[in-house]
Amino acid sequence: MSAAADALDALFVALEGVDGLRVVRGIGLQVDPPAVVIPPPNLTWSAMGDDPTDATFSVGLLVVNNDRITEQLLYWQPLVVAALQTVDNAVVTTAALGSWPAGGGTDLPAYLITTEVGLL
Amino acid sequence: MTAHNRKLTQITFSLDGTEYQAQVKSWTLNNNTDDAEIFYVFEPGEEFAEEADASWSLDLTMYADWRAGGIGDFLMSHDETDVAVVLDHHPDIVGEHVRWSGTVHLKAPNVGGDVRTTEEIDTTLTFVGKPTYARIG
Repeated sequence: MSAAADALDALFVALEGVDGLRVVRGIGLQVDPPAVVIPPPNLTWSAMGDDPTDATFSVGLLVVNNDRITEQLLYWQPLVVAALQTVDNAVVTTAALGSWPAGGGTDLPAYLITTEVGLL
Repeated sequence: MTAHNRKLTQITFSLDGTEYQAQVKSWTLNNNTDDAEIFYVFEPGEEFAEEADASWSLDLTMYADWRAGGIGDFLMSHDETDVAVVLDHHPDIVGEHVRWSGTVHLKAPNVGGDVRTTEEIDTTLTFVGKPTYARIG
């Protein structure tokens, strides 16, 4: 596997340790929140060589679309961030409010959590 | 092959035995030592170098804390004094944990900032002599 694929797998493994959170390994699947999804990362080459040095993931934290969106996002956000930052050489920089296609033509409210991973 | 690289995520930083890393936003350990001077003689290959005196400093940007014993209070109350400093770099990474320790001469910091911004303290700690470098684990 590439270093970026290794980093993605490490993020998934870390998130699977968050009790009660569904980890969706795939894009475009039906999502049953609360859940996290991770689309492909942006990659940066900042050293000599063919391999990227940094991968920037936008980790989607999805919650149920009801009148408790705020409470749900603020409950899961610290748990997800703590899990993400257990990954070697990973740092979380921002969490932006957004939405995510959850299948069936519906969008779910989400925090899109920017996670930068230095690839080793 | 990917270049080995690390995010700056964890340090421990103490002044006079009190840890302040939670206040640190940015740090740079500067080697300000002048370049060595090369002396030439009338015999090729016999030139020699004379090292300059060590001059090191630690630039810090910290969130201000003016509670008793907070970093702002500590720096003001220890103005123009020498205190022990220990900075552990990558303490969470086995095989990359290194440490600089020594004595710094403190100077009371500049204080203030723009309205509606988070108060920060920018200061430079001047090492008395050269910091001791050690590999920890």
